[in-house]
Amino acid sequence: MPIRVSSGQVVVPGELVAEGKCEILGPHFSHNRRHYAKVLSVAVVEKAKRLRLIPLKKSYVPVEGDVVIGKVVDIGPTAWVVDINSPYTALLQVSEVFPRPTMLQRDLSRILNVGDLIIAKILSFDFTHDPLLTIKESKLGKVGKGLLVEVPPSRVSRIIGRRGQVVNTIKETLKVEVVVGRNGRVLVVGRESENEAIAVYVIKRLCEEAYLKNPVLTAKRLIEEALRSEGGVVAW
Amino acid sequence: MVEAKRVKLLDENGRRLDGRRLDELRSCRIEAGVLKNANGSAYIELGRNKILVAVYGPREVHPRHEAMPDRMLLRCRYSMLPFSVPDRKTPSPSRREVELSKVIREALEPAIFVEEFPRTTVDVYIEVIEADGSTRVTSITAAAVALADAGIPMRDLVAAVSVGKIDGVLALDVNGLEDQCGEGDMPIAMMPRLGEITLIQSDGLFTREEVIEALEMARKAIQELYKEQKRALREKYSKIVEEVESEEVIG
Amino acid sequence: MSERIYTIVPTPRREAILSMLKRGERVDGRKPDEYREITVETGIVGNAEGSARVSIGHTKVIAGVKVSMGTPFSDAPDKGVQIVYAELIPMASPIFEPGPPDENDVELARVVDRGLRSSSTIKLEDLAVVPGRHVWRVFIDIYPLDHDGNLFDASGLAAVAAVLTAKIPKTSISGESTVVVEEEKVPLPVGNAPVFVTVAKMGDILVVDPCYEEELVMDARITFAIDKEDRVCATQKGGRGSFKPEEVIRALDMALSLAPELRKKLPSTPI
Repeated sequence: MPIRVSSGQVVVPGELVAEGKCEILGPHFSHNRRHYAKVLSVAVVEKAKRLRLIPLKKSYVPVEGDVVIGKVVDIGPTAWVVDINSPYTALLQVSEVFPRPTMLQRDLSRILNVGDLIIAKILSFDFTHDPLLTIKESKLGKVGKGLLVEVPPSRVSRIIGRRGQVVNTIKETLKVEVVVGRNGRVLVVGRESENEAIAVYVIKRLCEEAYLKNPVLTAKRLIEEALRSEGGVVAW
Repeated sequence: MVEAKRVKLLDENGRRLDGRRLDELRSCRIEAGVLKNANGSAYIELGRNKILVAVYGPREVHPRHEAMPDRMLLRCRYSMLPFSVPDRKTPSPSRREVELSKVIREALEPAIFVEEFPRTTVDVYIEVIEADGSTRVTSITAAAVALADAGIPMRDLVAAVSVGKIDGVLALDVNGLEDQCGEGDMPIAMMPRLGEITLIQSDGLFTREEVIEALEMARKAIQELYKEQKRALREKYSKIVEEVESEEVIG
Repeated sequence: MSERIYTIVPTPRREAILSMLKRGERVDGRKPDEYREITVETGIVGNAEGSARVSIGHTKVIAGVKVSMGTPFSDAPDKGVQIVYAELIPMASPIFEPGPPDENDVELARVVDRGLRSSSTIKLEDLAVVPGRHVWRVFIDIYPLDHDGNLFDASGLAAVAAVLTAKIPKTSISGESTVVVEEEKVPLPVGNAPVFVTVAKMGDILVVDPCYEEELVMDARITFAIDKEDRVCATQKGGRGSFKPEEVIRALDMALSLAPELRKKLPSTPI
């Protein structure tokens, strides 16, 4: 058996996790058919020859096409500087704001000001320059209202769920709109502020465990419990 | 101020003043993830040493022109709190702290996959809260845990220990008095799995044979420290890991 | 940063250096255990109590010794004081910027200081003119003038040569504890003569006395200070890489075998 660790085991960087031919998912490095964890992770043995390493902490590294929620932190002559909860600060150029070319605005702060939140897409990123954002497409743009919750970037896939099952459950049950930024920022907008609050609470609770067997079930349970105690409006 | 007298550091049975054998480490306890704000952190107690390490990063480099285009920067600050030593140490960085900051950084860097986060920095902040000999190596042992806790990609941890010379013989992990009154001190750091030395310094006098013996003494002790490092990291995170069965899941 | 122009080695050049090394040849034609040409001149600064200028290949370092009477440290009232200072000044290299001492200046000074102190090169116990009150304080200042690699060995050699040839005023006591500083000069009391040997690691290969280009390419370096009795009186590993334990011993053996040759360059210890 090539896998040397058991499910649920916390492995440290440099620790041997498998030896021989097998599939390792998650950050690792290999040398002479020996496989080692690269970052502090939890091991999940998915099959006899398939091991998944789930990092316990992960920074958000921008990927082209990702939807992210950013915060404007500075304004330059032709672009806004946007914090995307990443070691890399992003830039939103004026040309990426309007679908059609417009007159160059003298005062960029009238369009977006420092402190504004935006839902944006990563237009391009390679490590040699700052990530570039766009808000030209539909469903992107400045955020007017709602609640923002920050989750560890490593939990983003869990909040979305396979084929969106987890986030859809939250949206449908609580009648809220949820935008999950790949950078660990989640926006919840709903008509009932109580349902918004429940959604935020559920999202936070889902992120607590290092590993969840069935996030969809857990989400449903958490929503039910919260509704029973809070008495918010819901439609099944 | 008391003059350092010539103290006999070994008794007739070859036991040290604190009762340890020559090849014995002081008791060591590490705790990982002790600070909220830092991305990673660790606290270590080794004998009477108490050292706290915080890691911030990977994060943006300020000033920006210091960023390296193809790799991350590693910055390290070793500092002793004024009340960590019997005679108050002035808060401004001493030349010793400047040198130790450099050698500690160079002890940790070989273990890190620095190419993974270009144009960022990882900052390691070490504060010695109480000092009792061998603080630089104790800091390295804690810093590696803090780096792992921060999720920094590494090829191995790093653990370190000092080998001193007291009353003419080699002694592992010298405390403050042994360092002050002894005839030499050799701090050594290693990546435990790879078996490679990332820090070695010395003062005092050592023969070639003593250097070889010191390296072997250090190697064994470092394996023990490595166990404690792993235990600290596992303990921190095992509590919040539910029992897992081998089903297909999304993490 | 502008210094990057001077520190980035193009990959093809780096590979050329490493493949030459595998054939046992270094960039300047030397063998792995060969030093560049070493010259040592002493007594060049009249105003200093001791001085030396050393060159190893194109690397040039000047060191001076100055003494002054002062109070001892309270934890060593019967000993003189030794203070070593080094500064990497801008004239020596385009990568050195003016400013307060940084980690490289401090490391260089402290390694040389440890080598001298651990070997008791300066007999500090002979410098207490009136124990507890008046002792000689010996300042050793090291200034590289031209940096082509291996500042440690050149600085160490310069510092030791300056110390070995330093002359301090003779002193006598008048009355209870008044110190009379006389015109006559006597040699600074010395008891050892360490030499510093730096070994660089490139891949699996160890080379001694790295020139600047080799320093840019090396994985790591280790400096040993070796005293007259072949004891290690200082060790300092530097650089981003690591050493296997066997490599540390191999480097030490290189240092031990080359130490006598370096020591021959030092002026002989005064009687």
